[in-house]
Amino acid sequence: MKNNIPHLLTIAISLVLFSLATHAQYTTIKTPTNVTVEAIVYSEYSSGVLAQLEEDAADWIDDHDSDAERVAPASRTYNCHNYAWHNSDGGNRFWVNQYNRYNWPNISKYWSGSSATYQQSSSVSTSKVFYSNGDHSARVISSNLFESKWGAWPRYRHSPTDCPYVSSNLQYYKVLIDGDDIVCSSETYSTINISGATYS
Amino acid sequence: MNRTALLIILTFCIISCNKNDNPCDVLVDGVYQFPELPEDHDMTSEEVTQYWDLPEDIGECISTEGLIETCLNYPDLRLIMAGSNPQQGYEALVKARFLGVRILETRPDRGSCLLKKYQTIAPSGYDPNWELVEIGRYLLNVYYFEIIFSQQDNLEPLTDFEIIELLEKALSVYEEKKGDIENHALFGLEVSTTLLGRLMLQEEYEPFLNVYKENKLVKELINYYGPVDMETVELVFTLSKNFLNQLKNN
Repeated sequence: MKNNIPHLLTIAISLVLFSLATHAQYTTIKTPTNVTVEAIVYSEYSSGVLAQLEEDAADWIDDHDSDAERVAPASRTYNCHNYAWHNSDGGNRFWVNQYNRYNWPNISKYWSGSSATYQQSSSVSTSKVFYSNGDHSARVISSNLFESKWGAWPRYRHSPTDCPYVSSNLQYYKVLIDGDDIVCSSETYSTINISGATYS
Repeated sequence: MNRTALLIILTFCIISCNKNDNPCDVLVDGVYQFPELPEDHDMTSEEVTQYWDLPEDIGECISTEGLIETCLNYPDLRLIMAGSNPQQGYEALVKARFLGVRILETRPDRGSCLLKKYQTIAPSGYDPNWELVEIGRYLLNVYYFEIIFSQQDNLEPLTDFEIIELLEKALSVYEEKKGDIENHALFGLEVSTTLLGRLMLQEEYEPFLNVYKENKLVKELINYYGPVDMETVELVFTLSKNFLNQLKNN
């Protein structure tokens, strides 16, 4: 019995801490079509680590002769997937992973399933791009200019291949719009209803 | 005359053979020196990556101690933090690019050598008067080392005695970081507890296995170095202390 006391204590402590810890850092965000996506609230790095991350990223740009332009500082509070699919459209900053904690697809909810917001497109003139071989996402500004967050490093504007990620097999996504491709006088088009969005 | 000529040729051959036979002659104190990038170079990013990769022949002759220092000096080790998490950064952005860490994971004495290096690391051994960025560099170098050591392949060859030594060291590193939480923040604790947790996982310590199976945050920590909270890192810390006591009492 005596020998079991430390073991029982461990279990008791574990259960108490387990109940305190579970779900403490997870939250959810919604796609424009109201599909739930798992997100994570990360605590920020110390100011010294953030300063060095800025320097590391700037040195990488310099060493690799990159033309990427820094547009926002380093942070652990959000990442590429959150920026591309949520934050760049006005959503809050979180860390969003490709797969959720149960290892199920997470960000693909934006473009797959019956309530998908986006559909894959062969055209580069779209709004989002997913680096399928590099676990990375970016907002498409133009065919040769993306904006993306590089892990905990800063956020950059860069050409599709000018980043540290494997950029083969890029998948482009656009909001689905139904209607005639050729506009003669007036045409009727339909698209998904995104709350608070403006259409032009 | 012919004999003298033959001797000269033989001597020349021996000298030139010796020169070519040991690529590790270029090492400085046993450590590979990464070449400086030429000023205003016009290499592509892929070419820079190749330029900095460890030559295969050096990888074959360098000592494990020298290889560890070489890995820590690898200029693009920084990419660990550009990944979607530090584990993905290590695997996809560093290991995929750099032969050094791939070779390290196959060296039979990697566990002992990494432990020896870890014993020299003081997580708060920086001068508080340093510039912020210098403190950050010091801290990140500690984390990068722990991330390399905590790879399951690198923990695998440790002996029972070394496991006890590693637990003792990592627990003291954790406590030192916790005492300097303003600079290390939660991430510093997450890196040490990932190392501890992976060790318990490898050694199949049952109380930890039970928590690992049930607690998604512990799983997240062990797989990706977080994200978790203070309670989760404290839980792993407590379990590690119990594991150490159990090992010492057996």
